[in-house]
Amino acid sequence: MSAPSQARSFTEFLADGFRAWDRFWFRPADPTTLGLMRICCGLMVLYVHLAYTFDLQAFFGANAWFDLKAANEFRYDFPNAAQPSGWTQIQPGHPDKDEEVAYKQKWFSRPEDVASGQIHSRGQHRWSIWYHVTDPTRMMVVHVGFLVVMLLFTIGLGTRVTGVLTLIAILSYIHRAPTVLFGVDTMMNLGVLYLVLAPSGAALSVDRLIQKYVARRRAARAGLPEPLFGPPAPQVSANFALRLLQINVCLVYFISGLSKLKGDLWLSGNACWFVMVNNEFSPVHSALYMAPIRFLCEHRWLWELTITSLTYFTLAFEVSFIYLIWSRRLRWTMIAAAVMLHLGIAVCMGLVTFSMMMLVLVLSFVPGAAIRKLLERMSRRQEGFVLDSVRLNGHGADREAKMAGSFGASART
Amino acid sequence: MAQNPGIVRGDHYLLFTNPWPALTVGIVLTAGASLWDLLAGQAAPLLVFFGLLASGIGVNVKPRSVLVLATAAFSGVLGWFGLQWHEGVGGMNWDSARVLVAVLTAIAALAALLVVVPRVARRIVISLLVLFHFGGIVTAVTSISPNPWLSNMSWTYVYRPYLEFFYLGNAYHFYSPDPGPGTQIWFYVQFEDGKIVDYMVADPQECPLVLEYQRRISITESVNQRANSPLTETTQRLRESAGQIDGIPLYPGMPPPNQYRPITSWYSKRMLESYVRHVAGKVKHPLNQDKKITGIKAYLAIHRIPDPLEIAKEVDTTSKWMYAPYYLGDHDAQGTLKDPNDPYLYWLIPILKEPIPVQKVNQQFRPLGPGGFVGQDRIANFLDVHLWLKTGRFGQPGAIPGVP
Repeated sequence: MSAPSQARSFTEFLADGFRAWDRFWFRPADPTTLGLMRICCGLMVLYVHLAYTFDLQAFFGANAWFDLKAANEFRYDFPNAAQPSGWTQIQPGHPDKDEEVAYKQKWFSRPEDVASGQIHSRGQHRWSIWYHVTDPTRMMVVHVGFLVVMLLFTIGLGTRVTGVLTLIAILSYIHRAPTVLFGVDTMMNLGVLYLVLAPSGAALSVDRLIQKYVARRRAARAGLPEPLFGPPAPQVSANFALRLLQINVCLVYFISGLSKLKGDLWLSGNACWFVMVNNEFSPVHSALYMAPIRFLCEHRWLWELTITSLTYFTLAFEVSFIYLIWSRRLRWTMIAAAVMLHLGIAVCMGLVTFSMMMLVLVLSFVPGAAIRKLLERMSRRQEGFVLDSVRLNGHGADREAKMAGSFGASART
Repeated sequence: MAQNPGIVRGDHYLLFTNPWPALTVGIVLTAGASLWDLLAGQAAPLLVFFGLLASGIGVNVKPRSVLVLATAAFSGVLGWFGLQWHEGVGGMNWDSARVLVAVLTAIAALAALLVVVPRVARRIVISLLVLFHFGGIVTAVTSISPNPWLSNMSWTYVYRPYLEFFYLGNAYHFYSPDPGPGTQIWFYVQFEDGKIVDYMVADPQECPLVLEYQRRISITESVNQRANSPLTETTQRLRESAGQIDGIPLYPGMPPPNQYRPITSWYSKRMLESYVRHVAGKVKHPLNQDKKITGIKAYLAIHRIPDPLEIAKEVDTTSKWMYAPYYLGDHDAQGTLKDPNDPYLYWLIPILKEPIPVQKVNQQFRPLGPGGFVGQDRIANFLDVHLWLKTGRFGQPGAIPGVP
């Protein structure tokens, strides 16, 4: 092959790559999925933060478990050590100023082994309203304000603004009380962060209802017939946010699965036992839960088969999700497997909120058209129910036709 | 003739179309905050908040206008000035709020730039931001030791502010490398009249919601970070000698290095100090609230996972002997460790069930505790012995025979 042909094919290869990248990230997509995710995520966010009401002072107050004194110590003074940027190890022992000696003694159990040059910087980039508002009454006022904002975000009113405020609220709680956090907070933060970048209020929202109301009013003023509404317009930003969510979900499962391969219990097939009878998490006090567990324990072959299968299923699912979810044929299978995995986690480990939050993120793989189809089916069922009750009440055909018409219009939203 | 508009999407019909009233309010409020700071030397957080909110509403009305975005960014700059803290004047230092305002301003400015550039350039910039973002995620997930040098450099010199700010530093290592047992922190608060009141961090009876209980379990995990301090011969000898005096043996059959579990000073110890202060404020004497606290002993209790045979035999998994409590020290009410040289510090205090697996001879054991009924476990709970030991009694030279 001649050189100019080779160069052209490489250029074409690059051009194909850019086009594929452009299609992947910037093709417009239906925002309906994001609308449903916004509602589900918003409900989870609302529940998690409503639950904080019982422990507002214990978790975020001045004398909380992680009190303000300790929190500010970390915020301003935490040592950030770095490995040497060259080949030579930084040697301790060169004379330090008194302040540096005191600092090392405060933070390190063996300060003599730490060279000041190893400490790259001090402090952490944490921010929170709870560092500044510490009076209990004012805290409750701010907390209720945050709950109201989260509710508005959930129903999709002023979504762009309430979304940003919701994210600020979530991060305020997270940054102030890092010791009370677990997986649900990580996933909730991811979900809201990406939804804020998205037009998540473009579908299934009060914002959309307002848009329709405005359109009807303008049509009425102009003497036009009432407009019929189609599905929300596909948007580039909707696709962009969905892709961010999808890739992050893939990374979560993949890294989680890969990291488990370091563990002896996972490789030996026994790991699931250790999460199923953990007294602090599992419902071991429930006779209903323990009865089948006990039955398994009384039959070793069954125990080994069940526990090993569950363990390897978890590993196989997590490691393979990143590849198989992109296949159209296998997508629904992988989504079903995700549902099974998280159902197991919710039942056996008591991590209901975490499981639900993960499934909300997995929703990003469900096409908007499928969601709209489901909503239309539910709407038609409701329409049929109403029509049946109209017939039962003996109302006329005219009324029946009118009601069918109005439900037909709203079903297209 | 009136025309049917046909099927419309409804996306372009907005309630408000003019962003400038909201933006004007935003500028006025944030400028007011800056002026207040200039004149009175004090931050005006409420003015800044409502000003930025109004600017945000303006952006919401018309998000694709470079003028709107630039005005919102300018409002952010004014808000940033409006939150300054002056050392001479005092008052609340809204430093973390300033960080947030600065980031929001930068985002608005970047958005203004993106709106102005041609579509192709915009997509290139966004693509680069996507790569930057996932580069940060990859840095976070590879930050757990042993980690690549590149990941450490990337975290230290590039990504730390971004990942910390947006809480994106989680490594997603869920239940890895292996799922571990549950943990509790047991506090024993001693008052000046000698009364001891116990308090458990994650008590299901105290938590109406499961979520709340799970958050308390997370608190206990923060004290479970093991320090990389190997057991020395001196430390082991001190423990054994103190155990001989007090009648608290090492756990029979378990290698001593497994019974010694020091915690990290830069994290777990700091957390523990804070938790002790919280407990000191929370736990009161049951009869006289004025009684002062003289000490708070803390134990990290690791709750062993039962094996299948124990489940089949319906063993009570909440029995005390299922726990392995590691002594974390006696603290004063301010969280300060009273005796850093305590020979029992970070050692497992055994709670044993009969039959006790004795493999060492010449080991002193206290008489077994209650449990005389058929089917009831007989327990040797050395924690009950340790609770009442006076802290600092080994501080004098010669207190432990054979140890100077």
